[in-house]
Amino acid sequence: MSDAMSRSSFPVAQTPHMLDFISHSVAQTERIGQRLGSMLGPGDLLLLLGPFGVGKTHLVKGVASGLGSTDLVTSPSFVLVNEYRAGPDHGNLPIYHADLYRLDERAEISGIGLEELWSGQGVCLIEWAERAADMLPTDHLAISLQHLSDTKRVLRFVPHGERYQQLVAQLKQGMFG
Amino acid sequence: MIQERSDSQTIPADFTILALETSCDETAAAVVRGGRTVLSNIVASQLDEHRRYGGVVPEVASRQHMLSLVPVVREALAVLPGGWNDVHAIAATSGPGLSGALLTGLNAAKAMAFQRGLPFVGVNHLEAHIYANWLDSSAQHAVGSGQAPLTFPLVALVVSGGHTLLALVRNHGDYQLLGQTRDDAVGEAFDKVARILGLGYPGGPAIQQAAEGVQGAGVLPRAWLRDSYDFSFSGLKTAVLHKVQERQELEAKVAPKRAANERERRPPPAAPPAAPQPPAAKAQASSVTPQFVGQMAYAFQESVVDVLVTKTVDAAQKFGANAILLAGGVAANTRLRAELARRATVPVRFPPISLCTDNAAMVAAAAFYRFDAGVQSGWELDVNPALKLG
Repeated sequence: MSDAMSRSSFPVAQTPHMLDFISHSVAQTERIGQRLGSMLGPGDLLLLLGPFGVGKTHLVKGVASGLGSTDLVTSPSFVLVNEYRAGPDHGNLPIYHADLYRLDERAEISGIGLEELWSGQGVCLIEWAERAADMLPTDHLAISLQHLSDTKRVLRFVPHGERYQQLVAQLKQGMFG
Repeated sequence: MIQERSDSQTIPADFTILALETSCDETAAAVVRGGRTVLSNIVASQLDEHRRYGGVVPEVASRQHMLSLVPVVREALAVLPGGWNDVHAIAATSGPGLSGALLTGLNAAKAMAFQRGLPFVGVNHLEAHIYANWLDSSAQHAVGSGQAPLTFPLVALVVSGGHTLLALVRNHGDYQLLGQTRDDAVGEAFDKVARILGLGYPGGPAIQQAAEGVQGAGVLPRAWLRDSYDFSFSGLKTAVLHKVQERQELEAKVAPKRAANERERRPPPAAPPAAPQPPAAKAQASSVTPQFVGQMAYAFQESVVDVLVTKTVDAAQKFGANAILLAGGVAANTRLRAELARRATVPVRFPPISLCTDNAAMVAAAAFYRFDAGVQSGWELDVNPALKLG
C-alpha cells in the first residue's frame, strides 16, 4: 500500500481496501463503532476526521463499549486526552481518546506527548487528526465522517498498513457477510 | 495513602498554603491564608513570557509546565515577607487532567514539601473549582443572602471548557455526583458554536455579546434527558450547524437573483456580478447576516442556560440545599448567573471571574479543608488523569 501517498492526502485516499458505510442515526454510528471496537487490540491507532457534529465522539463511545469499557466517553476537545479502561475480555487495555481540536500549531502538538499514547500498549483514537496529519504514524485506520443530511452520515474507513487492511476486511465481512 | 491526623485540634486561622495547578495548559501557583484570603494567584499565561524566557512559549506542553513552574512559584511566594518560612503546607492538583501535565505539578509540590519538611495534600481539580466559592468573601459576588457563610448541604454546578457536572456537597470533602455531560462540556459547546457562527475566540464571551439585545430569535432544542441530572450539548451544536448550513444554501440561491435585480435597475454594470458563494463553506458563517448570527447565538445561549438552570434548581430543591454554588469558566456567563439567581429558591454564589477559570488559589482553598480535617497525602500519591468527584 502506498503510505507515502496517503500520508499527505487523507481524509480520502484511494484504496481498494476502504469501506464506506452510511449511518442513519447516532445509534447506528455507535453500533458500528462497537463492532469495530470489539476487533481492536494493543497498539491500534484510529484517526477520526471530519467537521463538527458528524458523530466522531459517538463513534468513540461505540468503540469503547465494543472494548468492554463501562467508562463514560465524553469529548476531550478541551482536556485534550481522556483515558478509559477496556473490559477484562480485552485485557483491561487503556483506551486513549485524544482530540487535536484546540491545537493549531505544530509546536503545541509535539509538546503534549501524543507519541506516548500510540507507542504504548493501549488503543489510541485521535479526533481532529487532520491537524497533525504528517506527524502521525503511517500505519493507522483513518475514519472520515461527513454530513449527508440532518441525521445521515457517511463513514469512510481507509486502512493504512497491513494490520488495518485486515481490520477493515474483517469489519466488512462482519457487516456484509 | 491518606493519613488521618491523630490530634483533633483545628489548624490556625493564619494557616498559609502554597498550591500548584497544572492539570491542563495553565501553569498556576497561589498562596492562600486561612483557606480564604488570596495573597497571590499567578497563572503562567498572564506572565510576560518574552521577558522571562526570551522567546515565545507554546501554551500546551507538560515540558512547558516545567519551564514555567519555578518562575510562577517564585512570583507567588514573593508576597510573603518571610518567603518559604511563611508557608505552612503545600498542595497540588492530582487529577483529573493530562497525566504529563499533572505529574509535573504534583512531583514538584511533593519535592518542595519533602525538602521543606511541610505537610502535603493532593487535590481533585473539580473539587477545587467548587472551593473557589470559599475564597475571600469581600471579592465574592453573592446573590440572595449577601455574604452569609455557607452551610451544608449545597448543590454545585461546575461548568467549564472541559467539565460539566452537578454535585451535591454534603460536607467538606463529601460529594455525590448527581450528573455530568454525556458528550460535550458547556464551555466546549460555546466555543464550537462560536466557531460555527464565525464569532471570535473565546467563544463564551463572543456568544454572550452577540446574543445581547437580540429579538425574534427562534427556539433551539433542549436535551432534557428526563429522570437524569446528566447533560448533553452535542446535539444542540449540530442543530446550530444545520441551521447555519440551511441559511447559507438559501443565501446562495437568493444572492444571484438579487444581483440580477440590481443589474436591471442600474443599467451600466461596471463589473459582472460576483459568483454566488458555494454552500461548501461549512463551519463558517461568512454568508449569513449579523442579525441571523445574533439570533442563533441568543437561541443557543437560552437553550444551554435553560437546561443548566432547570436541573440545578431542581436538584437544589430535591436535596434540600441551602445554597447553589456556580463554578468553572462558564460561571462568568452573565445570562447563566442572572437566570440561576432568578429561578433559584436559595442563594446563588459564584466566584469572581479570575477564580472561575483554572487557577491555584482554588486548589489551596480545597486543601485548607483537607488539612483542617487532618488529612494529608503520602509521598506515594500518584496522578489520576480520570479522577472523579465523590
